[in-house]
Amino acid sequence: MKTIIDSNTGKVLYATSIETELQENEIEIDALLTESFVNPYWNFDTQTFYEGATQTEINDVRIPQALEIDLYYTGLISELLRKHIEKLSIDGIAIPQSVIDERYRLRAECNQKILALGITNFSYRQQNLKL
Amino acid sequence: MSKSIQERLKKLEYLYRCLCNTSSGGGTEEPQGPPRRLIVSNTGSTVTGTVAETILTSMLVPANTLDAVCDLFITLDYNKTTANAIPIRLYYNTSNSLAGATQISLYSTGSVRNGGFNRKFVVKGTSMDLITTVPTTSQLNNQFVDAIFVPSTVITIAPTGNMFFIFTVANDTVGTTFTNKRATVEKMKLS
Repeated sequence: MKTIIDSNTGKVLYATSIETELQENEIEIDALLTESFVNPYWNFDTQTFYEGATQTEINDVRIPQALEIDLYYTGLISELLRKHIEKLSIDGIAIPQSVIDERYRLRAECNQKILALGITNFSYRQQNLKL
Repeated sequence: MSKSIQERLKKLEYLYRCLCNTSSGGGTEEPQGPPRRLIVSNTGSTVTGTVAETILTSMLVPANTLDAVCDLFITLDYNKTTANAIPIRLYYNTSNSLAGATQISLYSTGSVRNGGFNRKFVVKGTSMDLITTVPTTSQLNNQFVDAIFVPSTVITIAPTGNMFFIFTVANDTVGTTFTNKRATVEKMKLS
């Protein structure tokens, strides 16, 4: 597996394990991109990858991804609780602790995935009516 | 030739026609409908160890393979080891490279681990209608879907030269493995 980069700018173009036709401005390196960057570049001096996107560009990409994750987990939690809330409100049957524990686990998993995107400010949730 | 032999021969001819599904007018009939033929298939390639956009498979359609008027069918059956979204992109290029390639499809996979990505393109000479509005909008399948109410995207292709259809993926983490179960390019000749 090789990473193809622009030899002039260091911009990461793509990676491949098959033989491709390199253009004049392209070189291949053995290092592989292992960290998720919005606009990855290669530093020829330090031999490392770095983020070339601005914070605005990062937010433009990451917030929709975070929103997608949020909505997915919101759906899972709503489905998990729907029947139990019905039982609680009509029959007065308490929600089982195992269900509440599962809800906390799903919320933690959701937050972990969003933090992994590099987002620490969750204010975008306030602008979405479903969250 | 005696009359009984002639009658026997006629019966044998009739039975032969029934077995071969041919008409009494003589000659073998062509199979009904335009033939759909496999041009190239590729299987088993994987992407792992990087989160960069990576070529999963590249399929060569040799020069002059396409007919002047034909439908092109491109498929990818895949498996991924993560529940996170992974974008699948399909490019067209005249060389085996992503440099200068035209993106013609995108699907951002959901949480499910397996899927079948299908595209039908309408080829007329050097134009290829993508039967979709924006090829950078996520779509699993562009067949059997509702009508689109705006012009579809048409790109220019060069079927007299080699053509490459390249699938790429960008894994969410280095531990994810994305597998190409089978990718195909087929054509259906219409003229």
